[in-house]
Amino acid sequence: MQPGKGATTRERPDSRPAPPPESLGFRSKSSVAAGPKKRTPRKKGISSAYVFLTPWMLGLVFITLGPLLASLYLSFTDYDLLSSPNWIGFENYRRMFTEDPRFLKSLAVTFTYVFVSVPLQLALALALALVLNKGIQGLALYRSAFYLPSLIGGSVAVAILWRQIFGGEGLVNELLATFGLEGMPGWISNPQTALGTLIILNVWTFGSPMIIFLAGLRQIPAELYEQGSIDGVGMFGRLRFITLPMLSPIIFFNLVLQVIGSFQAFTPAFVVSGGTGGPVDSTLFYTLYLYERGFINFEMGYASALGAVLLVIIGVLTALNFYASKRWVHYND
Amino acid sequence: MTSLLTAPTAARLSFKHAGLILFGLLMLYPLLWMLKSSFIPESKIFDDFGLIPGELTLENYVKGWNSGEGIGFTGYFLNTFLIVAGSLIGNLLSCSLAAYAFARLNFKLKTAFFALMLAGIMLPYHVVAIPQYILFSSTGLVGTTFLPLIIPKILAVDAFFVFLMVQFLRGIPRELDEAASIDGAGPFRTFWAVILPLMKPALITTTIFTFIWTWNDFFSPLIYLTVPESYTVSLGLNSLVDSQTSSGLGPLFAMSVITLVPVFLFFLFAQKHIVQGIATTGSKG
Amino acid sequence: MAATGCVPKQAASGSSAAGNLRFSFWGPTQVQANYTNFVKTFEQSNSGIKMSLEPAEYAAYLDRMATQAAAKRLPDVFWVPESQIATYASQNVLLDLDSLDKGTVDYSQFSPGQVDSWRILGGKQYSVVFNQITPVIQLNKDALAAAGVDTPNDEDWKWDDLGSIARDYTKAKGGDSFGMAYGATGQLHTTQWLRQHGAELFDKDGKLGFDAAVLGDWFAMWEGWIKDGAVMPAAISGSVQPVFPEVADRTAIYAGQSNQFTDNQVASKQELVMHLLPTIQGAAEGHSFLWYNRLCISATATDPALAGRFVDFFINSPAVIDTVGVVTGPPSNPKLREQALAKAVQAKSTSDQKVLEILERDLKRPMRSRGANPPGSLGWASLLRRAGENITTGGVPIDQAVKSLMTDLRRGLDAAR
Repeated sequence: MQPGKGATTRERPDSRPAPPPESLGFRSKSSVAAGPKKRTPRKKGISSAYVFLTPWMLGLVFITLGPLLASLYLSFTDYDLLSSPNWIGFENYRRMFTEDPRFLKSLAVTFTYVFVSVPLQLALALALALVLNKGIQGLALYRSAFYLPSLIGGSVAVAILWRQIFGGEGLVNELLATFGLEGMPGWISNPQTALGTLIILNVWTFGSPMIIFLAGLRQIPAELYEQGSIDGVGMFGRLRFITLPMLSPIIFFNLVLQVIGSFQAFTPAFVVSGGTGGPVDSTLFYTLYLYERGFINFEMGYASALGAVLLVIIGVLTALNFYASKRWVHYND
Repeated sequence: MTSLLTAPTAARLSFKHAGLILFGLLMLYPLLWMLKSSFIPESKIFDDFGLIPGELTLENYVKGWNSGEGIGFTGYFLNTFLIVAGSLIGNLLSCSLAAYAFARLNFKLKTAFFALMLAGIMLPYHVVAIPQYILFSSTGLVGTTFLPLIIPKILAVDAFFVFLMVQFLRGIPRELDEAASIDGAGPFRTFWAVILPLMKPALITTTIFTFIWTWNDFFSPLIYLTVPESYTVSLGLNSLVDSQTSSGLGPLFAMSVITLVPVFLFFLFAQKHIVQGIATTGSKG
Repeated sequence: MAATGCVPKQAASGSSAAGNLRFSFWGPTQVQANYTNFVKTFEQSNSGIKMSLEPAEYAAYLDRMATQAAAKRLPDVFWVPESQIATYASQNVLLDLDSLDKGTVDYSQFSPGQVDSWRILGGKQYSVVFNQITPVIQLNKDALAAAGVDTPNDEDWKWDDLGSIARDYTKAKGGDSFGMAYGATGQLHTTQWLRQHGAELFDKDGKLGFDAAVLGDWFAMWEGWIKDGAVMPAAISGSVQPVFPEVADRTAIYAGQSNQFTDNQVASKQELVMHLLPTIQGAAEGHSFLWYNRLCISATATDPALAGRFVDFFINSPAVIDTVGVVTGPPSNPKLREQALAKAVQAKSTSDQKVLEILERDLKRPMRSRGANPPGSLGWASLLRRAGENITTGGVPIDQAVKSLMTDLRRGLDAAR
């Protein structure tokens, strides 16, 4: 996404994706296919922008960038929380990439977690948002029921529950036993399946992106659907030509933020594994490893280096996301 | 010519409901089990996974509620509400202002600033926690006020919401802005009178998430609030269970249920407004 | 007004007003309440002093302490875990208590040897020890009796005896019960094993004091027990370091610590007893040791003398017996222990009696001095846990796991030098 592009006639043709097809005689009245826009007076834009942005700017500089730069600096030091940091150059990074198998393991675990749970979670969220958007009876109840897990999903109580549910004699195994699958091993304590239980936990909390999808769906003007049914567009056509394109900025938003958020998942893994990333590092999320290095071992310089690497990874993936969004995200401005 | 699919049959509807109910129960099972466990004696909690309690007791609730140093859970709830209120106001105002600037106005380095803002949420919290703490500590605000928790919200530090609002804003056609500006409104009037009302779903969503995240936030209150009189609910919950011996699970479940109630009620109330939302963008004609 | 987010002003560290002290400590809510009451008695007898308490649960406490230390904003007096004391002390974060005026802290109820044994890092007194904790083997007396398994007393029992008892229990009970939960990753038990072999976890120079073979034998012993069915495998118990409630109903023996006994007894539906650790054949003299809870004064405390008064109160006041009891472990002050025992007998609190008695029995044994874990050793507990996990769950050969543990541990120690 390039914010602001499309505001002037000069920039528009390059950046805007194609409007919905008109082959079915369907025209979106609010589509940007309308006509060239007036140029927003640039001078007025600048000064008022700064007024709008003042609180944000203060926050960015002092609360976001300052500590971020401090952390980047610390990544080149041997900071141990208690004494002054000493510059050691790239030593932390060198050690990370050449002498630290747990670093690589935590990357593998985290990548698996993100690339499996995020698509699953978003697909489920979108599907249910579409179903619930129809205004069926008891909508509020269903919506709340599906959202409830996200309210509490990151909590200690749920993580403890999860250990019980997926434990050797937990609920899941009891259920499986009633279906005839006796003697299944504990899922939480098995290195092959422990990560899977955390993926399920993430998918279980699909309520958050679902709410955002619902909000986005509500913003799609009803006239579009009316126009669509006049034009004879069926259910799937509605989905493909109206709903999804109009919802695409929100889908994009959820995708970007779930990726960013899942890479930094911490509490569920922390509590479910008892802070260890076990068994045998199979749930060693990247931030969990970072926390261990920084707060348990007091190797804050090394932890900062881990953080910087994560920043780069997430940054690259997010940039790719933005770049790819040009193809499928449709904006109305 | 009516579409074949416009009128759902009764069968399809009840099928849909059955599916939703089943799925809902599956989703809620862990929470229902936690609810039931909160009403039975702590030593029996892990005895079975059914939903029907054997022996009912309120001891977990009594114990849990009366635990909590300083002002106890009553006070923790009040503190948390205060922090949440401050965070809500801060986020709603500052993030919408910033989002409007990004989505509608032009200024130098806009892309760079946006990227920097997103970079802020790509760095794991644990590495910025200490530099941030040192920063706040040097201002003398730590340990005596809630300000270190609220100030970031007033300064639109939550990139999540700025980005969210930008995405919603970009779904609102510019014709509205232009109509307003033809009528002589400056950017601020346009923002306040035209755009903000149309952003209602985004604002409601922001409200819901800010409420919940602030409510559940643990690490920031842990390091910025040190005296029990200022503790939040999350800190109170954390103290219920000894990480070394795991005692205290009964009260933990009980208090987790209780702390869910305000969040859930708030959500029930707020989500209605997403329903009402807007049926049109008002840009016709 | 509420929106400004102000709370009643509490004493901040650095406040120049005399008579305010910030004190932080750890514990779950009940312990927090107990110590709050304990500290209230200090305020009652020192009306000019206002105490501001900052409790938190253990894991959260450590995070907060580290953050405060980084910002040089530690409270005036605070607890430090034994595993971290040398790290904090080595960075001038703690006040040397010898710098206080003589008589500020009254050590008369302690033997000189005892107080000296608290010194670290070249003989400096950076803390007082207020609790002394023993590693123990916790036995479910009722369950063992019901299964018809005899248990010897702990005067001279050996690790092999422990193994056979556990094995016998598993055989007698059957089903999915095991004699003992996995305990190879307990730091204190491992340390004692090393000391029994004449080695030491960390030697006087802060280097590793043992060789791979000794530690390897420790893990091998546990693996052997798992094979025999004496010990519950981690896959069944859920982790390599299960908390007691997770295994209470399925095992009869648990490798624990004396300061967890009270909670464990509450969680168990049957009677528990504690034994001192078994030994190897021909164990080295003085292998017993104690683990400490320490109270320290911050190097940045504005009024060290005032803090010293609180420290003196903390280790000498009998009020601790009625408010706190022995829930965090037996007091280090011998007089207070006597009083606590008397009270426990009178109140018929068998749990407390056991906690106190096991310490007394341990104190009768010779104890070689043990330095505190040196700076750079903070990763020891997690390294040990991971080694155990790699061996018992990950199928890694023992010598490989031990070797990598020692390499990582050495690297941490070297980095701190």
